[in-house]
Amino acid sequence: MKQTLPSQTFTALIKAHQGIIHSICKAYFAHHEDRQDASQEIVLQLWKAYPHFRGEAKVSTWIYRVALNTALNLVKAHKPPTFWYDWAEDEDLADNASAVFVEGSDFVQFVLNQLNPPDKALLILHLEGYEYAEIAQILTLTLTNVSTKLSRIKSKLKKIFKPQDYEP
Amino acid sequence: MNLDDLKPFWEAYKQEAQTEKIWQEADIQLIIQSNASQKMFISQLRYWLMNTSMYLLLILCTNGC
Repeated sequence: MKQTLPSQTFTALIKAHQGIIHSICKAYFAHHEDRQDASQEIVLQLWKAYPHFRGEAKVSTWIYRVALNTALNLVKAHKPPTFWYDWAEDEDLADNASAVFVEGSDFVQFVLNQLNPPDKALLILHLEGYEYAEIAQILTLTLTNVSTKLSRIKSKLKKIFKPQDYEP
Repeated sequence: MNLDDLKPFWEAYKQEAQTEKIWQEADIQLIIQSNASQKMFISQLRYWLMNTSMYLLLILCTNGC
């Protein structure tokens, strides 16, 4: 009987879920080379963590946990503290938000760029449909923390975007 | 803004990210077997060396050397 090697199982697993890794790298890194380095680092971290993965959580949840934590560490290690422009405080820009971005996936990038790296992770997991308790577990936060942070993100984005900005 | 309104846009974003780069099994094998972690270490080292040199240069300049 042909035996499957752990690396083959892992490779198949990553191939099936590679969309998660690519979308996280796209959300966090603007430059192609940085994205490439980050995606490789995420795969390596997943490979290191694979022997400890017992299948208690869903594969996608495990990948999100490792990928987001790796991306956050990379952002912290490689970049100087970034000045996050607070669009919500700039009334002129907030009034003209619709003029700044284009539609579709660019809109998501524009929205994500308004947030700091940890808040970005929260929003990504929320958009993926994770419950507050799951988000708390993935990002090692408390339930109250998740709820407060998401509500802050919501009100921040509410200040910037109006419904007509993103309705098709 | 209702965050749930962003969900369809997020799906489109994920689709786009996936089509930009599609890994085959061989690509993933190559990553786990390569020295990517060494490359990461070198890039980190380069980053800190550049920062330290810049810092020293600034100190020298401000001291009038």
